[in-house]
Amino acid sequence: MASSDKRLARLLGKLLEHPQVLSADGKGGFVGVVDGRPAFQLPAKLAAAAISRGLLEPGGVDGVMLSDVAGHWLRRINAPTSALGASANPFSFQHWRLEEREVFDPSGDLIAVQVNVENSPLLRLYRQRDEQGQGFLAAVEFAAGEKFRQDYALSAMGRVASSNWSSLRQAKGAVHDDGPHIRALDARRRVMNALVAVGPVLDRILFSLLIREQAMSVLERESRWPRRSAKVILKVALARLAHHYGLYVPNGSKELY
Amino acid sequence: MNNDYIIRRNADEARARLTRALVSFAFNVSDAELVATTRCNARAAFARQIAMYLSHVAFELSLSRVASAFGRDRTTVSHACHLIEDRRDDPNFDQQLDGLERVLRDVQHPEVKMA
Repeated sequence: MASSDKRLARLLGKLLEHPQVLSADGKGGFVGVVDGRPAFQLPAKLAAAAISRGLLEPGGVDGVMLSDVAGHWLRRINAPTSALGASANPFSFQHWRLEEREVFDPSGDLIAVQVNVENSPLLRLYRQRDEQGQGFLAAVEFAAGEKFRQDYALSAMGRVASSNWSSLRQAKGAVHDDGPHIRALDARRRVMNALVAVGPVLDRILFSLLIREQAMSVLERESRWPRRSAKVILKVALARLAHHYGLYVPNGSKELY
Repeated sequence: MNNDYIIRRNADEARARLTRALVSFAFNVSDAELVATTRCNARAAFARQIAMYLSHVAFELSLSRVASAFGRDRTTVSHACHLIEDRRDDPNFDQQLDGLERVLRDVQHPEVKMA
């Protein structure tokens, strides 16, 4: 990245923290105020570059303000270069939300990994709340769907057959587990059992919405269901899945575990 | 044209002197170390890089003008600017440089209008 880009990113990042309309300084540049002081100065050259890229748009009297694309641009510029694959595709990184998680690696050690929590197609549906603050999906249904997706990912059924150079490093030395193929076979068996347990029509829903990540409207059109019905049917399918995984507690209350 | 060049050159050198004085005050490095033709120790080299960066940013001079004012190569200045810009990810350092930059911006050189 050019150093002028980096400088622009730093200045616009500050502007993002203190949103305001910058006023012209008479020399082609713009000035802003932070904590009552004229702390923010955008020189003419950088301002011209930012405007020509659409990062700044006109606002106020002869002033400029951050545009919508500036936030995305900043996320792309600040994409970590060391994170897996992120440097290669800053455009997908701008939609990620990375969080630190601890997972067991194949040799049984806890390791900290970065997880893109926006990865799940179920998450958006799960986050939706109505006026009473009630979610459409129950926590068990969401958990069941996520477990299904995790099993599928482990089962290697959707994996490409060619070599993948961006995969995680392998632990050196003897690894005391059954090996990746056994784990994959186990996961595959779990996926197949879950699909059988859910039943003939519902399994197709789970597969196309959670694994192939198809749009609900596409599924409705293909299956000739009424519009917006796929959401409800998905909820039924996830409830069946949760029953199969034993996520409902016996007394029928919907508490998770 | 030749006269313009000399005036501009003098203005640039005056700015470089001012920046060096400010940096030597703020980072406790002697001016002799900043103008030295050798690298000196790491602290002095870092302060020199800050001085070159500040005069590039605050006075909006091109890298080659900063280079000739500091008696160094254009690519040395470019390297310094990259390095300092990366170091500004640290918020404390960023704030310190913001302050210095503001000081330099507020000073107007008498010849600045034509330079």
